[in-house]
Amino acid sequence: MFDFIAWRFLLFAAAFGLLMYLQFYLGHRQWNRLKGEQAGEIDVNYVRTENYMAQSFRMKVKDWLQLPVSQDREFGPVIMKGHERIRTLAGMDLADHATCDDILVLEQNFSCGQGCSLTREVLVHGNSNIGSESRLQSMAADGDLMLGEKVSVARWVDSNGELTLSAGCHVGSRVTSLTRIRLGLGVEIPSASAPQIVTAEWDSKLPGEDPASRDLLEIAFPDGSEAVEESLAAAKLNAKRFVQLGGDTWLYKGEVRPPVPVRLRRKLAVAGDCYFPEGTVLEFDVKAGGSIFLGPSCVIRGNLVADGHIFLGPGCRFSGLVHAEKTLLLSRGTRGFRVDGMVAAYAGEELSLETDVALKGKIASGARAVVIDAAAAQAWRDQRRIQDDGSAVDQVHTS
Amino acid sequence: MLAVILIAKICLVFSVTVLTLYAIRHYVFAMSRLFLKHPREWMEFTGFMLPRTTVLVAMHNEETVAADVLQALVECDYDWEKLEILAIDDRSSDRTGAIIDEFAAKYPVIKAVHRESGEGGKGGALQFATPLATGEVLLLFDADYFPGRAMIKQLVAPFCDPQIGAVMGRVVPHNTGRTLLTELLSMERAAGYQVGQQARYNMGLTPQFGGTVGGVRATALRAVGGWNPESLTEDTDLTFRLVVRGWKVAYANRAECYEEVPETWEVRRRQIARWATGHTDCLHRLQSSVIRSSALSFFGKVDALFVLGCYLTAPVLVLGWLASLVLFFSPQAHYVPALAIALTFAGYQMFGNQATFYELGVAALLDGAARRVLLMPLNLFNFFASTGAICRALFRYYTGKLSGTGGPRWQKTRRYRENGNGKGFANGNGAPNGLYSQGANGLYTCRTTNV
Repeated sequence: MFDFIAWRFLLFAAAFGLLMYLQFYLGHRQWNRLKGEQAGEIDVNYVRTENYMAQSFRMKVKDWLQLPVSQDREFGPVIMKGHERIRTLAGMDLADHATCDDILVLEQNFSCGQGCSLTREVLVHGNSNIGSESRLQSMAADGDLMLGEKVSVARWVDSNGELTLSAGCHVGSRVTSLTRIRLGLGVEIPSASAPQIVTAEWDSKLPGEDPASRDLLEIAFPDGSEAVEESLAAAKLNAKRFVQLGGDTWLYKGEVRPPVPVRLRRKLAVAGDCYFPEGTVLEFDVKAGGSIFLGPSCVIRGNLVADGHIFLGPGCRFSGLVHAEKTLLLSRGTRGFRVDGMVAAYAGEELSLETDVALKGKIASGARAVVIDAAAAQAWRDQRRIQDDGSAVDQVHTS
Repeated sequence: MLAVILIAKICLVFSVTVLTLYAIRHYVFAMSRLFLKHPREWMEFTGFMLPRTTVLVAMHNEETVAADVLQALVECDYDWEKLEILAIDDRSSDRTGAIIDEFAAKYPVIKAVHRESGEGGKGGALQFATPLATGEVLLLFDADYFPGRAMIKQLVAPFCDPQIGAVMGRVVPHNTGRTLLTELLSMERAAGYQVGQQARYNMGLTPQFGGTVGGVRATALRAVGGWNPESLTEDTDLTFRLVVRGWKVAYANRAECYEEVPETWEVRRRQIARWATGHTDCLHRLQSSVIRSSALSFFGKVDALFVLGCYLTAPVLVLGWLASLVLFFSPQAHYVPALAIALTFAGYQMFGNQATFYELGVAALLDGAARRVLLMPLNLFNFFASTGAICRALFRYYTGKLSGTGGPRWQKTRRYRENGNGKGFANGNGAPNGLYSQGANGLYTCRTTNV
């Protein structure tokens, strides 16, 4: 009996020892292999530009064009890079439903008919016109670039000139232009960046009125005086819920729902939702732990950040950054501009832009940015139980 | 005898409970990084948020690295009209002050600040220089760090949220492959940042502002009374003074910056001893503020206390081991096996600087360095070394407090770089300096040999 227990113990001890040894042996062997290697490499010189994908492709094309050119019976002069064929042409007009599996580099203009399929990248030094329902890999144009209706791009599109995405276009990655991007109804993209991004039916109008001229109730911040308390009461705010975070920044623990348009001259973080009525002017940054809903013709001069949704009513103007953790709707007539820089709007989930929206800078989304019509915008508001003017369905108006 | 056994039982149960709670917490973090969505993508705003920014670099006898960090900063992609760099010569006895003066004379964006006397380490130097800063946002880099060209824009982007008081970037060791210790510390750093910090941020908890590769809003800093020169970990101290007041801390995982990690066990011991002492000191000073804070949620408070008390897990673990030994040799040895297994399991989660077994593995996977997972058994050495160093440091800390012989003292971490030449990463014409080399892909990356 004793012998059996001893053997069993020895066997267990040997197996345990072997396992212990094995993990240290494997660890040591791996250390010998990794010695001198860098764990994570950082390209310290790298500065990301918005059109970095297209820029990278343009750089690569420059290198490829240095490779030897051979003569192909079917295609004329071609450059072979491994199994890939690069065709350099003066210009090109592809017929309807044509297919091209080569990387194309065109010195002049390029166009293709309906339903074409370009399975590799295209670089056009002139203008480019893509027929409806065509499918592209990615395209860079030095001139203007026009995508017809329902064109699908697997990766990015970039142009130095005006870039037009007609109704129903779909792009899988970045859309960039050095001039202007026009987005048709139903366009779906993850991000776009240009000095001017406009959606369908843009009326060419830019912001005009000076918001300083508006006569509004100014939100005062608690200093113990009765006048301030009265002013806060008029805005349906409770002085006791204010906490001063720092010099110019306040925290409000509750929901902000002023019944009349207000002017805000401090940075404000709000623990709950914010509903600002038509004509409100936000001079500084506002952050909400919930959602932010702004009625028509509001002016936002700081940044707007929400952990929930953001709704900018018709005709709103913003000149900072707008960041919604969930969805974001920029209603008809929204304008985003600033004189000394770019603006940006980001939604962690879907970013919806109604028609006649224009901004200078960037839109981006964790899911997709989509151009919607009035009916879809109404559905967005219904889902979040807000009215056209940005107020909650159950909110009483006095403005 | 019965009393001793009873005390041992209580100690063992306490130890297992505490360590199991920590283990569960880290397990949740690791799983959340693997399976949950990554919210708050501030990087889309890189280059769109351009506040006036002051970069503070505190340097005490940093002649070997001072030129590199200053050159890297002037080469950053940021409008000089909106940038100032305060290079602080903190009572240096070597050439640091002269190097700073040379750079200040050459680049108007750099201002030399000389601190010739005063107490405190980095916190004291920062407290001295901060009143001179004119930026809305103050960014901090240690002298041995090497910010990339996009770093400033990446770090200021999250400040578009007015409630964010501080932002922390990610540090990546550049001397990873030098010794086994640097390799293990590299894994630990990856786990701490890629998993620990990011998971806390994703879950609405408080990522820790690390005092370097990070920034703080000037108004927030003023609101909480500035830096604490008394603290050995002025960064941890500031983090929790900010959050109890209602400010938030953001973590920017893609804002990556190279740092040096200790190459010898002795330097590592001193470093972790300083962190352990500083953290625990912060725990005692700030625990009541954290508990009473109305700005933190229940889980926010619990996690804050877990962070502040993380170095106490080392003595708690040792206590558990001792209690196990006592019980093992007592007539009630049958208590030991189950608890000892639990203690071993939970204790192994606690080594190092909050980086745990799960987190090391998950970080290696997320960083695309799965081969490093095989090194994990070797981290046992780091675990034992850290446990010993922390216990010793905390023993000194508590005995010092009890005997009134004075608080913790700052100890500078040794630098290993010897050929810092201040030529930046590209030297304007593409020639790399001693720290960086150009790979076949054209990218400048850290040189791990010859450093």
